[in-house]
Amino acid sequence: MMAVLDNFMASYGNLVNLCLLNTLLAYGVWLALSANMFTLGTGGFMAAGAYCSVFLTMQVGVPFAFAVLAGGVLAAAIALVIGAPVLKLRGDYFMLATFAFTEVVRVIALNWDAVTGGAIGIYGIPRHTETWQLVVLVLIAIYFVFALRRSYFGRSIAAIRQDDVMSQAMGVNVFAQRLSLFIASGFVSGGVGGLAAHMNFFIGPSDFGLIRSVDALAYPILGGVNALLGPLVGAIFTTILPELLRFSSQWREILMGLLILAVVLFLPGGAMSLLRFRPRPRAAKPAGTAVRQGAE
Amino acid sequence: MTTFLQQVVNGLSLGSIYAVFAIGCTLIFGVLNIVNLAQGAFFMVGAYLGLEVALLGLPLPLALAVALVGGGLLGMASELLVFRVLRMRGGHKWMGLVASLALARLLVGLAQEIFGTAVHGYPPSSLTAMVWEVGGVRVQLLQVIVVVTAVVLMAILGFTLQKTSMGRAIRTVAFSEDVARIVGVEVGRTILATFFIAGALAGAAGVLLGLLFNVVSPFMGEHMLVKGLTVIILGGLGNIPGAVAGGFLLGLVEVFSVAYVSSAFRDAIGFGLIFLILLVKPTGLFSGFEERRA
Amino acid sequence: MAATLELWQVAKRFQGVVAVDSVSLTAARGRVTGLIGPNGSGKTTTMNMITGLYPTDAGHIKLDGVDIARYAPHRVAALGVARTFQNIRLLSSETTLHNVLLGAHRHQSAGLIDVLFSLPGLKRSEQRETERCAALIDLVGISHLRDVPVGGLSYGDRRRVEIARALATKPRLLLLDEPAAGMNFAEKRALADLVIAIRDMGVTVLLIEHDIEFVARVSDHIVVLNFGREIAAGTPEEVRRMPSVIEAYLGTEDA
Repeated sequence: MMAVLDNFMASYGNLVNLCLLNTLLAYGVWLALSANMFTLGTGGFMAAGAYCSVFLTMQVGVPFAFAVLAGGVLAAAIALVIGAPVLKLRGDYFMLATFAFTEVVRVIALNWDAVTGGAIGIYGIPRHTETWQLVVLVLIAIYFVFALRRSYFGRSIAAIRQDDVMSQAMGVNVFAQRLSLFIASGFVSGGVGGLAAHMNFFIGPSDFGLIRSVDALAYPILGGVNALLGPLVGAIFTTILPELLRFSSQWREILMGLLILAVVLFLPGGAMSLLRFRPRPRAAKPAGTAVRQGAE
Repeated sequence: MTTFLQQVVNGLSLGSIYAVFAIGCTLIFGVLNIVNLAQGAFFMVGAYLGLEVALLGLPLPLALAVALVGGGLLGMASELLVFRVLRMRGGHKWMGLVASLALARLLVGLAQEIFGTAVHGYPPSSLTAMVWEVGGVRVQLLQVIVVVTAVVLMAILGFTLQKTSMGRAIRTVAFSEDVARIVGVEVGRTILATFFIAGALAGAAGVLLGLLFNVVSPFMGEHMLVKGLTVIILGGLGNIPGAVAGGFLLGLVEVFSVAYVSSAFRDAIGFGLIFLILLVKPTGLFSGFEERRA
Repeated sequence: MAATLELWQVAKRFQGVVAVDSVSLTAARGRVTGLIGPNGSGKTTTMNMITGLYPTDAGHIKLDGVDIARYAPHRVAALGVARTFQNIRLLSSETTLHNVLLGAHRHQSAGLIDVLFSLPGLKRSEQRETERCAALIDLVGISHLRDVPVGGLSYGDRRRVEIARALATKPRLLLLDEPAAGMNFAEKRALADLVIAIRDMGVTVLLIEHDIEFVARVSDHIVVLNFGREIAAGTPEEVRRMPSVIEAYLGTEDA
């Protein structure tokens, strides 16, 4: 039995690790999406976590686990600094600010040679990340999300997602909840950045741009934001499919574009909504119109 | 002083392109309250369409026209196939963002497949090579052409919005969709026209930037999208005069920061501006006070 | 338990357009105060200012003497102000119970640690609030619909869910925004009884309503708004007889 597993990991170990990492990232992004925060900051948080943890392990000699944790904490602190002013504004500004943040990080990564290695990046990162660690982390993440969702706290997040004005009037501190979720999302993304860096031997500025943020958003949305296992399904599916089909990188982009479009247009609840046999009653009032009513 | 004037010339020519592109983004936001993240891809496709026409030996105005129409049709297609479908269903706004990103990805992939990933340039012509020296300041004929074309496009847009019935319809829908319905504006058609205009502006901006820097690549759209979003934040979401001013401002700021600070942090300065604006005056530099309504 | 609400020269503009010019009114402790007026007279804007959704441009809003005009909505709610919405804002795919439980959010005693590690504190807190909410659902008379998604309920029943949800916040002041709209005669009568029952539980009620008969039946005191100002106030009988009210509001309906 163990031999079979060893063989499998020898052939597909990298793909398995990648699936696990992306799953973790997907739950990190889900934390933000669950309260309607369309974050394009994931790439920036990953970069912050990756460069921070690599600096700590390679130049300071901090143990791996602490370095990854520090990367997550740094990303969480940045999320606090960005989120506190911007989450008071309407959602579009949040999206644009996180987008600007990711680009700023990319520019810094390109130019701060002493820490980031500039455009060349950093080579020879020791490989510390193990598959079992990722499995444990994914299980913890899923359990926490499960516990959160079924509690009153999770119900209030779902309420914020559907109607934040009403939620406020019912006594939910929407700003504080959004900010905490965004900080948690930053923490997970930063941690994943550190784990990814210690798996890949190399990191460079192009690993963490806008595309990274967009991919990360696609995982939970493709899998389904309303289902516990949606982010997992979305991440694994999106990671494995291109490998299975062995397309050129161009065709991979085309395929991913088509796939995401198809899911958004035809399966708005994500892939997991296929599993629901009983169709949910249609919303009496689309969420978009609720915001539009002004003074009488 | 000559360096300063030289930077003004360079900044204005770059800024005029930013302005043309950003007007399209802000126009869609004004009408639909969404950001169409595929605008960058339309820009890139416009640059390639113009390039193909120019490579056939046809004159540049024709290249510009083809890019305008091509970008416009793409814009309409994105409305008909994606945004309208999503609006009908009344789903979440982020679905539109995801869909427009996916569309951009699809187009970038197609462009790579068709044109390759290498960087192309427009064919050289005597028109584009001409340079004047005015008191030590180099002014390329090309820069003049770019600025004039951009200003003409903006003037046409301004005229369309202010004086034509379609323009009035667009402004009414931007003010309030409900009001537009009550006064008998065909909202669907108006939105479609808005997408056409925005796509056309993006396509034209693609040709202009391709000409100015003589660089066309599948990835130019993403870069431009970043600039466009920066500009619409500077100008205020949905604010057209703000986008014009913001476009020129960003062009000048970038060029000056390269000349006087460091080329490395050119982009960072633009984004630094975004943060500053969002913190200090989130409605943009060029807007009155607009209050958030519940 | 019940609170007194005082508005003094409260004003609100939207991009230069006056929505509420200057409104002063008092919702007395433990009473039902009706707020009436034609469409566009500023009733809902006033309610949105009381609940903190719109910041005021001028004036005071005092709840038992505390000026809440600058408070965020969740802080206003924490002081014991609850409301319903004119255009019913429920989570349509959730059940009645889950909707009402949202109102109890603030009274859950379990912390994040209890939630993440499923500690007994969470279960205790959820159980206590679930029982309280179930009792409120019973009070508004829809206990048979407790586990049904609210999207499919009738208009009147959804209004009742909203009232139960507002009560779940343990309010001292309840704001009802056109609760009788779209209800038939029998439903209105039942609603009137419910409003009076809520008042008798020790909750101050401020009621916006178009249906003058309904307002007259349940209100102890009526304030009439027109063009963003209060033009009259008094008992239902007094208000009905005032010429300015008949002209501004009642007259147009009778004509």
